[in-house]
Amino acid sequence: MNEIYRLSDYSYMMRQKREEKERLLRSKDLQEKRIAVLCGSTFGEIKEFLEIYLLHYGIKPVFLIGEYNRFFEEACFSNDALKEFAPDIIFIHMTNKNLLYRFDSGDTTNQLLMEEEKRLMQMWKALEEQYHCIIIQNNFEYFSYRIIGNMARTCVDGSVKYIDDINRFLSTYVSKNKNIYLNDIHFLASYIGLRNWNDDRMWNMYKYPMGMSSMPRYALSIASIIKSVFGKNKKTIITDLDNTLWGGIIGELGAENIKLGNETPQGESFELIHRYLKYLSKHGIALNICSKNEYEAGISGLRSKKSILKEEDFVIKKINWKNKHENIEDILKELNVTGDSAVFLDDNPVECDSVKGMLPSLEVLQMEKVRDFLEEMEAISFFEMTGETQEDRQRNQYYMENVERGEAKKQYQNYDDYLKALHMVCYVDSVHDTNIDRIVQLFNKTNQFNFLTKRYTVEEIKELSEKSGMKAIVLDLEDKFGSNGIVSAAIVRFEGEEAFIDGWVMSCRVFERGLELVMMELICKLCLKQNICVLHGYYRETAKNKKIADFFGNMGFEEKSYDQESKKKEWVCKNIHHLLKICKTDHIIIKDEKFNNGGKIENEKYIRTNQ
Amino acid sequence: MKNILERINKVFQIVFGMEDLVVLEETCADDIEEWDSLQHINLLSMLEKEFEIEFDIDEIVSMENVGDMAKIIEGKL
Repeated sequence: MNEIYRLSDYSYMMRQKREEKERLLRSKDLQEKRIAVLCGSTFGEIKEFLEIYLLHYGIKPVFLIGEYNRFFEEACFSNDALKEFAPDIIFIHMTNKNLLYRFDSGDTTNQLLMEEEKRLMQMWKALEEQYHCIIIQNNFEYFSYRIIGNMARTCVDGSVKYIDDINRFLSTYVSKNKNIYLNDIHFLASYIGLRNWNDDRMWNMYKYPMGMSSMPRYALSIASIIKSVFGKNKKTIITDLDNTLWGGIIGELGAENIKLGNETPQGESFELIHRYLKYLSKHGIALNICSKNEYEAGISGLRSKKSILKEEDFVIKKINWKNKHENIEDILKELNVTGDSAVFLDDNPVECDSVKGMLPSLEVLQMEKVRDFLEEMEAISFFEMTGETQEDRQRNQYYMENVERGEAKKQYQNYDDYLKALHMVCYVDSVHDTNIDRIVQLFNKTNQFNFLTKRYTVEEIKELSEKSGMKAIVLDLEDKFGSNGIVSAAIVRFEGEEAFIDGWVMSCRVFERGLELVMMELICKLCLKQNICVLHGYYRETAKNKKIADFFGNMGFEEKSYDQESKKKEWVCKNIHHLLKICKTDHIIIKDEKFNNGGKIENEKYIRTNQ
Repeated sequence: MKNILERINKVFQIVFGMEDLVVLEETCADDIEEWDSLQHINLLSMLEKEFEIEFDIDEIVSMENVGDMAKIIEGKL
């Protein structure tokens, strides 16, 4: 069982929290994040739980906890403590206890609702304007009393109706605004059960808005959003076949006799898994197979009519008799993702154990009972989605095309020939409304080719790109297999005769294609245009970006300084003309008309494909 | 009663994270530095879990020391 899941049990959490915290604080590469909590009620122990989950995700939180029931004032009025704290995230700890609605509000409910909406918006606007950071807002759980029974949902002053209305308002607002995320406690309280969630004693005596037992799941839900925002989600699933995607051993039973589909109760539960995974796949999670079987036998299950998941839903299929960990390593390599971004599913405890032993960073889930398995997946929220870009929806297509590229590579003796045959075209662009989400995501999710691993919000990128003396370069790469989408971005700062590469990321989808040279070339050209003679680059080491540790060195930069504490290295290049020569590539065609005209040319790609 | 005290002691050890903590009937919040209001709530909820009981507000308000806790718990078992 997953440790985070185990820790969502209150008693277990209480027993383990100290030891766990100490252990996690010793782990390397913790990313510090500043989290301000504005309180509608007591936050108390919830903070401890939240801290433990975040540490599990490699995030070391620094908290500023506001005063009890002062959330509105602290948000809307000048607040030096919060300003000074400079939060990365503001969480508003509100529940139905903080609503204006009272059971005796009577006929004024509609007016109250309007006032409520106004009050919330005022608060968010004030926070956005003053702090430019991410806001997490709870929606509202039902009251545990309805008083007038079922009509509470339809009656003008009914409590159920009120919660429905305010929640609908919240969902609409959040879906239309960036940088504000919804923590769905309405779902959570229903899932836990209102009778269990609500504990009047806790409220009456300590102003806790829920019972103690519900607090771990509440904290976990907040942590899930935070880890997702900072790019700690899983990206891919590797699944076994027999007794994981269907009941029975296909090699023995044959495709027609496996338990799958609505004809048998067991088959019905596996069908649920199929739909679950299919949905994830639609949202950009790459599905892969690792199964000990004859290839033909294994694949016959997916070809069977009963199977909702089809062959083509999987990016990589390793169906053979090799050791599972070897197959998994190959899959990770082919997808170019690290072990900690993958989840492996298998029913066999021995396999699970051995894979976990060989690949400790991999998340291994043993499928015993479908129901328990899904409950675990739900609770941990591996695939928590916070905002979805077009690239997410298409990611699987990119992965598939990458596999095709890999096949194509094998046909060429020489890597350069292969690159040339890819017919790559790179479209250069700057930041605008339509691509900003993807750019932010790229900065926040990229770990390997990321020089500073600094994470940004939409607001921050917007601000940076509009600042004078700053330039953001955005690259979109296309080749004969299709578009890779926006895959690289850099932020360059100009000061006098010097320029600084403040941020640079490239998606692992396009490694080894020479795209980094194109970016460097573009930076050089920008520098020369502005009569810059010195270019600075930075590198801050993390566990995952060692691949590019010597990048600037290899490009002829000289090491200027190294800060032991932050592990940040500064590089400098004083001969930009020479650098430009090194970066010239002839296998990628650069289309930068849009970039040079300040984005004035209409969507060039559109014009091109319509010719 | 002795058994109840032992189980209470165990809960104290868990909540305060001190394996060698020993509480007596007369032990009260003044005797344990970490015993603040937040930990008090944790204590009560862990005692409720341990004994599978639920305290009333009146009972919670009346608890002055470990002995009081034990007596209230005993009355509920």
